[in-house]
This record gives sequence, C-alpha cells and structure tokens, in this order.
Amino acid sequence: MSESETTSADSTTIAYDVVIVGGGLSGLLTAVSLIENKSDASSIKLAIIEANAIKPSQQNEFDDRVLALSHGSVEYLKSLSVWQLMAGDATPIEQIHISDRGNYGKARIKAANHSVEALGYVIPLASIANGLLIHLEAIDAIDWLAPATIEAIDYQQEQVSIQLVDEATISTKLLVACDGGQSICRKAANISSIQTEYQQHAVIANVITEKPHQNQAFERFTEQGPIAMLPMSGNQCSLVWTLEPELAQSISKLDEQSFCLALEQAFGGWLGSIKQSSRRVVFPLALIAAESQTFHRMALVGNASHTIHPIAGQGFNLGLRDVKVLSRLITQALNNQEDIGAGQILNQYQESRQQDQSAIIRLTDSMVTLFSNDLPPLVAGRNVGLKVMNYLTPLQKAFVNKTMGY
Amino acid sequence: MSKSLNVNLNEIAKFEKVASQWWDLSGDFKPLHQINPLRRQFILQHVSELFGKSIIDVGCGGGILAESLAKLGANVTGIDMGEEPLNVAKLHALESGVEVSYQKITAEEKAQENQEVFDIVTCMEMLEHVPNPASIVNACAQLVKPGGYVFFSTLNKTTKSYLLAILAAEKLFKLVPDGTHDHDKFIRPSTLIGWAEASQLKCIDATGIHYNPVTENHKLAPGLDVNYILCCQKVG
Repeated sequence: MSESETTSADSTTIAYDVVIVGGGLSGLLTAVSLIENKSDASSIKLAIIEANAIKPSQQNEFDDRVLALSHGSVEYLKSLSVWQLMAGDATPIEQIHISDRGNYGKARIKAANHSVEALGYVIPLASIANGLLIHLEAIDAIDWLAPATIEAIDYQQEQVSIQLVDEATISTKLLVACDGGQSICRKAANISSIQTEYQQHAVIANVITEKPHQNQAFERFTEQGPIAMLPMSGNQCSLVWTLEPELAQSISKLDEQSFCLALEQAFGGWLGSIKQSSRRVVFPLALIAAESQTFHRMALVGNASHTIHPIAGQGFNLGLRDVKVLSRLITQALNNQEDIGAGQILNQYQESRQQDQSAIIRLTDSMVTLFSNDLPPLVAGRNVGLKVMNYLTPLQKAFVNKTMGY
Repeated sequence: MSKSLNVNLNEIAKFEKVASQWWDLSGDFKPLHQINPLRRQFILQHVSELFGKSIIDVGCGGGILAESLAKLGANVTGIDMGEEPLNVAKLHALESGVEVSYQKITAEEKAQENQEVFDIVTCMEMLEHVPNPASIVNACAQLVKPGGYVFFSTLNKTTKSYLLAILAAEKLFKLVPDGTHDHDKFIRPSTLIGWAEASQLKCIDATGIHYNPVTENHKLAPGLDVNYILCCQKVG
C-alpha cells in the first residue's frame, strides 16, 4: 500500500486496539476476558466483527449442541462473573462411571473424592453464548460490527487494516481471529493447517433413558468404539458414540426404535432401556491444527487454530485456555503501556500454548488408535488407557491434578 | 570459472541427487523439518518481529527455513549453488503461496553487489559443506546492515558429533543419506566465533540444537558439542 493511500484512508478509518473476528464462543469470551481483566485505569477500544446478525439476550436459533466444561473452565467463567448467567442450564457431573463391554472392570470417579462439587458440567452451547452476550450487552464496552463481511485484510507494520464489504475500513493494533475452523484470517495470513483424519465417525444424539442418570457421566468401551453419555436435564443424556465410518452411517440411519435398541445393547443396562432419541448426526473425527498460532499482529484462538473432533467439547476447553493466556498477555502489555500487537507478546502466546496443545493433540491421536484396536494386549491396556482418556473427555480431565490446578 | 568459487562440486552433486526429497516430511530431510521450528524460535528470541524485515538465507537448499521465515511476513531471499534444490524451492513456494526470491549465486558474489542491505542473514547447516567457510562468514557479515543479525548453525568437531551425526544419523538409523557429512569439515564454536569477530560480527548468543535420533525429540538447550546455533550482531 502506498503512503498516499494510507493517508487518505485515515480520514475514515476507525482505529481499535483489538478487533475480534468472529462472534462465536471464543470471540465473545475474548471480549469479556479483555474487559474484565483490564485494570480500571487502562482503557481498550474493542470491536467484534461477526458475519451474522447478533441479537443479545435472545436465543438465535435452535442449536442443541452441548459442551462438557472442565472444572478449570468453569472456574475461569466464574472469575469473569459470567458463570451465574448460565449455571442454571448446566448439569453437574458428580460421578464418572467407566465400564468395558466384555470385561468386568468398572471404575467410578466421584467429585466428592476430589474435593470439588462437580467434575465438570454439561451445558448447551447456546446457554454459554447467551450468558456472554447478556454480560457484554450490560457493560456496553464494545463496538459490534455485525452483520459484516470482511473483504480484505492488510497487514501493515504498525497496524492491521480490515476492509469490510460496503462499510468503512477499520484498523487495529491486534487482530484476534476467532472465526472458526474455516478461518478467513488464517487464510489471509497464509497459515496452512494440517488435517488428520481418524477413520472414525462420531454419532451424536440426545437420548432419554428409563433410569435417571443421577448426574453421572458414562464412558463405555466396546469392540466397535467408545460410547460416552453425558447427563443433561431430566432423564436426558447427550450421546457421543464413536464407530468406524460405515458402521456409524448405518447405525445413524436406523429408525428411532432400532437405534435405541442397538445403543442399549452396546451400552449395557446401566440406565435401563433407551426410550427415545433425537435426530442422529454423524461427524467424522478429525483434527485440524494450524502450523502457527500467530502472524504479524494477529493471534489465532480456538477453532481457528485447532479443531479437535467433536467429542464432548474438548475443543472448547482448549480454546478457553487460549483466551485465558492471550487476554492475560494483552492486559499485561496494556498496563505496561506496551504495543499490544508486538511480536514479543505474540511469541509468548505461541510458546505458552504450544505445550498444552501438543499434549492434547498427541493424546487424542493415540486415544483413537487405542480405541479402534481390539487386539488383546490393547484391551488389557485399556485400563491404562482410562487414565489417558482424561484428555478425551474434559470431565475426566478435570481430576487429573495438572488440570485441577488449571 | 569454478576455480574462484567457494563451492564443493561433490557436495552440490550430493544434494542435487536427493532434491526431490526436500519437502518429504518423512524423507531424507526429516531431521531438518523437525529442527526448523527450533531455528525459527531461536531467531525470534533475538528479533521478536520478522514482519517487513529483509532476510537472506545463505545455502537455502530446498527452502525449508526461507519459506518458514517468509511465512512470518519477512521479505526473504534464498541463495544456493545447487540448481535442483533451487528448482524444488521455487516450485514449493508457488505451491504454498509464499513469496521468496531464489537465486543461484555464491554468498561472496551476492555480497559484492549487496553490501549491508539485509536486516538478517541466516546460514544454517551450510558451513560444513563448503571448502572455505571463513569466506562465507565474511560474506554474511558484508550482507548484513550495521546492527543487524547473522545466525549460523553447524556441527561441532567433537567425538560426540561424530557418533551422533555420522555414526548414528547416517549409518545406524539412516536418518540422512550416507555421506551427508564429513567430520573433518565440522567446525568448533571457537573457530566460528573467531571468523565472525574477524568480520566485525559480535557473537551475542549460542545454544545447542539437541536432536535424539531414536525418540526424535528435539530442543534448544545448552551444550554446543554436536549441533549448535549462534546469533551474531554486526558492529556499528
């Protein structure tokens, strides 16, 4: 861009400290974190660009996805004073019940034994989003650019300039990309991502069981793959059933009654019969990881940086920790009156996140291999695997000491 | 013509032969792909922001380092004397949509035309492959701006480096092709620092690049006895 263009654009350009691209969970959480963490003395000019219209305090559309929040994630939401806005919709996991079809082994992990009231919480995704929106609306400290579409992103030495379709160009010292697995920001910065497919699909549904779950989460190992049942309100559970692709397809296409029966047989009688099931949705298990979490004046957060297969929202817990680290670094820089988009800060973000991510990604990798294999040594090894599994379902991860310390 | 050039034709031929392997992440250059993030990390420890910086990578080969620096927004030139590796580098840059300017020229010739024009000069795993490494060090010093940074990495001349880089990596585990390295050409850090200082470069940091061929673990850590990397700053 030539000097003259920069100058002429300046007259209409609104300059921000931080522009968040994407008004999903990661974007909303980043905004809340930056506002809640900053000291009263410092100010931050903040905008969110979102492609869809956002109507705070109103359920946008029916979205039945649920997430399992780890204990650490809930503590963080509490520290931001937003947990009370969503806690009413959350079901605590007080106990995890682990069993293996064909083996007598059974394990129970209780919250009470770990001195916490819950090992984790199951909560509809929409409830988290609404809680965060209500909070943001109440404090009224950000500019909403929604619905808005990005036409071009220009990375410059001192700022990033973002041109919106049919709107003014805005500039920012730091761009936080929360725009999901198909991140436009990631593409604009030419950051490639590595995709690993796991020849496994997950069948997801909400089911109603005969017996109450009593706030237990269930993890059941079968020759075909693991079944996770997460407690929701009433006698409802959120099911994640991991299977080989073909089997997943055929099972999901069964009529409701046959599906319930198939699940009952594989799951065992722990919750009595399976009475009803919602529409079944099948997701291929995949991991998409960006080769870098930063670019000049830009940080990738959440799914924009790593999409983990859809089991039980592990991805969200990981994304939440991205937000936590990034907002702490930004707040520090603000307090020290440093340039919040400086390479030094972004390098720190990249380095401090790398370890967490590679640990989870590595373990997720090996978990899938472990599950899909039915050779005797591995079956015997599943008990060891149960420990490793903490990384697969965040509720179980919650009591790994490392995570308990957040 | 080749008489005056600081090039070992056998070395060039060695790399021409395996050029197609450069970007095969599990091929002959796998160790380079694995340690490349470490090199980048070391550079970022000294120059936190590469966006907009002009960088020349001397002995760029297939462009593994050059491309990774360009991806951070640097304006990168890669030079090498191997025709095939350069072709591979150019093709790969097209494929990944990264702008790197590649050129077949010696460091000495490049330095004659480009005195003190680059913010950063990198010269990684290259010095041990040329007849006169001191002359390369001097050329790098001429290419960089006063106050700019030059990064060198190479292999130390120790018994351990023989055991690891040649016996283990080439003969036992066949991580890199047999004959990739010649232990006589390995360079002690003191020697390299001596050449640097004779060329107005001040060595400000040195660290070891540790690579375990069995576990494939790799990390930056003290201990320069095998593979090491230096950061030098041009006086002035």
